[in-house]
Amino acid sequence: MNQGVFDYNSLRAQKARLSVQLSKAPLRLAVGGAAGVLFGIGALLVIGLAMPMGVVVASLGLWPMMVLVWYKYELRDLSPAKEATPTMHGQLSAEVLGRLPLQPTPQHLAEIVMGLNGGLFFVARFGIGPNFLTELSSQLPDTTLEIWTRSVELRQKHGGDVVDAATILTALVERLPGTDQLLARLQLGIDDIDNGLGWYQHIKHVVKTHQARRQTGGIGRDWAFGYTPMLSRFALNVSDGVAGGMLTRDLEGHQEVLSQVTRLLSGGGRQNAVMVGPTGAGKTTLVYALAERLINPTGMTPQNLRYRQVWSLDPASLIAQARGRGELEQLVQSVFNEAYRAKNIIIFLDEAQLFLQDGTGSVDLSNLLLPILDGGALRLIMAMDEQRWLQLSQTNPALTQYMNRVTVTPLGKDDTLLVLQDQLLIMEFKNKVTYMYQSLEEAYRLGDRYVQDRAMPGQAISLLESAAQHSNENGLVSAESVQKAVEKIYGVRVGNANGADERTKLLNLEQLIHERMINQTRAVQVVSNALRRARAGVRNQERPIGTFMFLGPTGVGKTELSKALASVYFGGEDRLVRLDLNEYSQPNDVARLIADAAHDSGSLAAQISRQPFSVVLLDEIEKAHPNVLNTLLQLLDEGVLRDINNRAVSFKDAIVIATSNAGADRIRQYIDAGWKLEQFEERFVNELIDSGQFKPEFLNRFDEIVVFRPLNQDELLQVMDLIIAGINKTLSLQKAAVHVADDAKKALVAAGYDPRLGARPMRRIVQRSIEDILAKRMLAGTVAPGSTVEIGLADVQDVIDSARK
Amino acid sequence: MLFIALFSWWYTAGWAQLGERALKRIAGVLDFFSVGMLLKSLFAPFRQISVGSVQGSLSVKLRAWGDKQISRAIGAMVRLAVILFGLIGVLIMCLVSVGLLVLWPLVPAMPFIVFFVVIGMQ
Repeated sequence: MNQGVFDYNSLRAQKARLSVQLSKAPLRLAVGGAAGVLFGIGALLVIGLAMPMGVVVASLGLWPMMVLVWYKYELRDLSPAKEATPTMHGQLSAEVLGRLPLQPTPQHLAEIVMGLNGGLFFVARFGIGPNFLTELSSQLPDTTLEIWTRSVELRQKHGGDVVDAATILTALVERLPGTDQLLARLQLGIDDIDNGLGWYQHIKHVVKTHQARRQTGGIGRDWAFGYTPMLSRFALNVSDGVAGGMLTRDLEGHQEVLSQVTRLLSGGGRQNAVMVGPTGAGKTTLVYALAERLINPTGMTPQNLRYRQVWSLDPASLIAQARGRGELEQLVQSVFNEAYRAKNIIIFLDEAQLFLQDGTGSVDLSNLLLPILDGGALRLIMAMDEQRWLQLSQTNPALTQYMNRVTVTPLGKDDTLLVLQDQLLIMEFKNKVTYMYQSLEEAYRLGDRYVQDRAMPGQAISLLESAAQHSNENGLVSAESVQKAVEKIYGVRVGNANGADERTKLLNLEQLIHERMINQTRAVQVVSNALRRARAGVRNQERPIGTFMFLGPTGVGKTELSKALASVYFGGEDRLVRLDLNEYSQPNDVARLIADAAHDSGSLAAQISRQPFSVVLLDEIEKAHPNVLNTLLQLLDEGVLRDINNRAVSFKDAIVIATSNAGADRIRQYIDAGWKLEQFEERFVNELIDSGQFKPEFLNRFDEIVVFRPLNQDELLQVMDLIIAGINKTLSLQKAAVHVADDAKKALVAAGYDPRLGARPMRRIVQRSIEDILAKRMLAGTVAPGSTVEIGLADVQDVIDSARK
Repeated sequence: MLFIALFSWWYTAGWAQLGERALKRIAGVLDFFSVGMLLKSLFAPFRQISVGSVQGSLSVKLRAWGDKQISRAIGAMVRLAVILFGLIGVLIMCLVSVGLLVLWPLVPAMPFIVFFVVIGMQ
């Protein structure tokens, strides 16, 4: 490699080697011990033997002490050299430089960095194995220059003071042969490693800042301000609780909000700020960050806000203390008066709606707040969501007129990941786990999809909190941990098909479905393919798993296929959400469709927000009102339905099946004329469009339009077997079974066959014959446990005769 | 080489850093005793025990005014006492720091200095 880039014998390299040696505690202990021994011997000579030369011996102990002082204040964190062209010996961190051999190769670098904090960070956070880099890095000294050049670029990009282990690791990973494929196995890309370096540098910065002495005003800080006994009882001192670590990332959006609030509170006008934004957008965290900045002020903090304390009022304790409304108002008035008199208090009303409306645990203090806001003498911060703000604007415009609105918007992906990295410092401490980078990405992806009641970054944070319970035995929270948390909370399956059982099930879906469905092979195949695409992760993630239109006469298996899907794929028939759209034939029925859970727990929106992983069966879709159909179009297109509160309910994990009997007679005609399904399917759909029964733009929204054909008598015989198998399954609880003779089955099928109604009449006939016979015999006590009830033609003849009549 | 590096650091950056640390410690003492803030608010009512304008007769107003002056006087006394403690702390810190700064360059040569002093004494 280029000798100008690395000089093994440079002074800085020598210092670094000494630093590495001294970083070992035993050596430092030995040096310190030597100093102690010299001091001790000196003292003994002077005091014990009255020899003045003992002072000289004791003073020799200062030399080893000098070495330790040197290590502490220079060698441990060697400053970079001032160089026009950065060299390795001038810019590398002491811990790396001190371990380099005479002719370092990328492999040497890899070995070194994987044993240091920067490398271990990537091992834990990204799952990069300790041998991953070492085995794949080049052993040629000439290629080190390339790694070095890239390391310097990365250092400049991320603002580190020296080129440390994490920076070199990033450069090494970027330069590995076939790195994209290797990282893909860890569900990572090059950009992720680069983000990881930014994360590591940020942690270093936070630790350094935290170690710096905090100047929080001292013992006499609050002596010029009033006592606050009432506030101590009915509010929480936010400023007391913050001890660094709140929003250490300077995000543009957050900075803007904080400076806006600071400006409002320090300005001459009405000193209040109402933070309006969705739950989870970070309103409360921003107030905590503001409190921290005021109590630990910098040159940027306005003079009249320095050391001001933020107190969060607790409505529950206020309500609990007051006996009646009048007393409550008096109490709150006293608290506000105290805050005003104290002169250093900023009142924070979190979830401000609790103070602006009467209800359980809330109270309407609008009349009290109005003059306070108008006067502007008391500094006040409120937080509420957009909907509450709009409601307040309508019900009490005078109040909102005096409020200074500050909008807090949800964060995008990049900013959310940065906030998550910030919050992890506290979450990891609380939960005693380590979060992997992949878990953050997954929390963003799944939070965005499944957590509907809040916004980013709150969505992702809530998932990460839950994922801590699913960490592995080493306390690592991975992407799978987040998936498990989502599966546990929402009862959905979000991981890719990994288990051997599931793969087998997916590959044999058709067979599994046919265990409970006769024929309709094309429909079963189409649906199975859609599911395989979904679980293999190759489908469009922004739409439902599959959208199908099932056309065909009644009783041919349309609903049965939907149930089979819910059972086989989602684990139970209860995962079927069925809507009879003939009940949605009025224009205002749209409201019932999109009602939220608070108003109608049975609405489509409410059911899917509770259970997104479902089969949605829209029965008799042709009978729905056009307004209802238009609403459903959005669902089919974007996989999203907006509920009555305009909250998006995701259908991206649902299978949407619409059924229709339209053209059933025409299908029968084609079949009777000897046509095969494949031959007339397209023509039939065109006929439906031409006859105006469906608009082409509506049918085009479906992934597949599947035509079901009527069942013939042979197939009905197989359906009969399925029905009998179902009865036997029920009877197995009572240790009994039923066997129906072939001639009886044929007679039942013949009696129950109706070309217009398909298999349905047959189910009724079976109920009236086999089940009734069984019931009678069991009540008569003629069915012994373990016995098989034989049913012959004679037994069912009566029922058949009555059916014919 | 390293020996020279140690001495070089000791008499340049090491000494300067000692001075910087001393200044930070003094600033820390000033912050701990709130010296700056107490000086600025020396005559402010202590803990705002009496505040604002009082409505009422002249005697009530006079009594409120008197209360306020008492509060100010108590405040001033408490603050002056704390400022005094703070300044004593700063003084001690300054003396210690100056002592360290003076001794620092002598440390490497201390065994020789002590040796000659002891010889001289004998």
